[in-house]
Amino acid sequence: MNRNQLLWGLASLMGLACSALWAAQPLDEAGLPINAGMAGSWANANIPGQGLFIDVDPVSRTIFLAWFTYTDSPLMSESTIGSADNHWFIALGTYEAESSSVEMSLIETQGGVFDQSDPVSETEVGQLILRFNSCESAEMDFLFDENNLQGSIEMMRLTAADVCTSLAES
Amino acid sequence: MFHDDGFLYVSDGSDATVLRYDALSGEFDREFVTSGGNGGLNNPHSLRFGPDGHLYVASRGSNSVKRYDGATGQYMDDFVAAGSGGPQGTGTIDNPAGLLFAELDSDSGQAINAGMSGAWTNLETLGQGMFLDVIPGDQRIFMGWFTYETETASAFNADNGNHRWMVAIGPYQGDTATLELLAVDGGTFNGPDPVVENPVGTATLQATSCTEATFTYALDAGPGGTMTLSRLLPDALCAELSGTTGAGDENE
Repeated sequence: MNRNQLLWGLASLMGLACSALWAAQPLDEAGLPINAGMAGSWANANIPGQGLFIDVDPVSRTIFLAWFTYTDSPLMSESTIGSADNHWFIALGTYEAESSSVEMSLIETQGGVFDQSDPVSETEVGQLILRFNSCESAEMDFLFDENNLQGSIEMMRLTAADVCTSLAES
Repeated sequence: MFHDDGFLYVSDGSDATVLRYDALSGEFDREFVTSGGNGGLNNPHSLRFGPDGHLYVASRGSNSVKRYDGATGQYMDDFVAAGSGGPQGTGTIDNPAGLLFAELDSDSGQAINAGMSGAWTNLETLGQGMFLDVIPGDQRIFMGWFTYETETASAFNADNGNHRWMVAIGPYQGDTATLELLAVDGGTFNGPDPVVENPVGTATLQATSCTEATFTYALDAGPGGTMTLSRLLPDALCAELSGTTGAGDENE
């Protein structure tokens, strides 16, 4: 697997925003029940450079994820770490037993400094729904409160899903 | 016995059970090993969690050491069966009362496995951290590091909270991964713009256990350091996988 395959992409959410079916997608539609093997990196291969890292705790039925993306437009500011246009969100939610989907709070943080203990504030900026169709395929719906920006993205597992497959078959 | 899951485990000799209590308050939590599912436990004495994350109990009345699922308490097997240790009557296990797991290799850490995929953070710098994705087939790790710019928000445009993120990829062997850190530039939110990957430094990740690792980084721009990473969510698979070659049962 080369680096380009690992560096993820997402579909054009802006283009999909008007046709998104945020409220029409039921949480309990058929899919693969969530398991711990779904932890890892997910993305849409059509657009490079953005995606999700997911973690799953099957005991508390908690999913925590980070959405690595960018600002809407270049900020043209200085940067010594990463890119000045980097933007990331985190999301946290709990799922029901045998459920293939989870509704999560989308959270933006402010105030942090690289590798320092400065306090960080967290603000809920929207909602996010993940539905797992299989160990390799999922859909992510998102809705931002501020500008009603919403969309739906097909996500694919970036790396091997062997653990997920094994757990799903057990 | 206090365990790092926040509970106190106590063997109950009369009922042949293992009871679980809150380690801080002492409040009863539940019957972890039940009398109806104890696999023949008889007069339990010493108990320990093993390197595979499961609970081992010395069963004095049955002259055996029984193993229970570390997450559910369900009986698994007789890890040391009655009669072990030699011909009957010549030194076989008899009235076992103590358990001790010797360090298998105190100089080495935890071999990296797919169960380490997930969120990790430095507890000293909450609000930033790493996600690991372990790729056993390639013996490689893919990592995302979500963090911030090095200066305070007033020095830069704060529209994005001075967010910064990097990715890293590299091979691992045993408990150690050697990673190349990459900044990814040129993207816009959900836009199809091509991106450019720029090497910005190197890092080493050494797993000391399924829930703790040491991360050492050196960025070409100057910053460098070492931090202790802790698993943000409880370990679900690493301990299980470290004792087997395949995927383990899910701890539900």
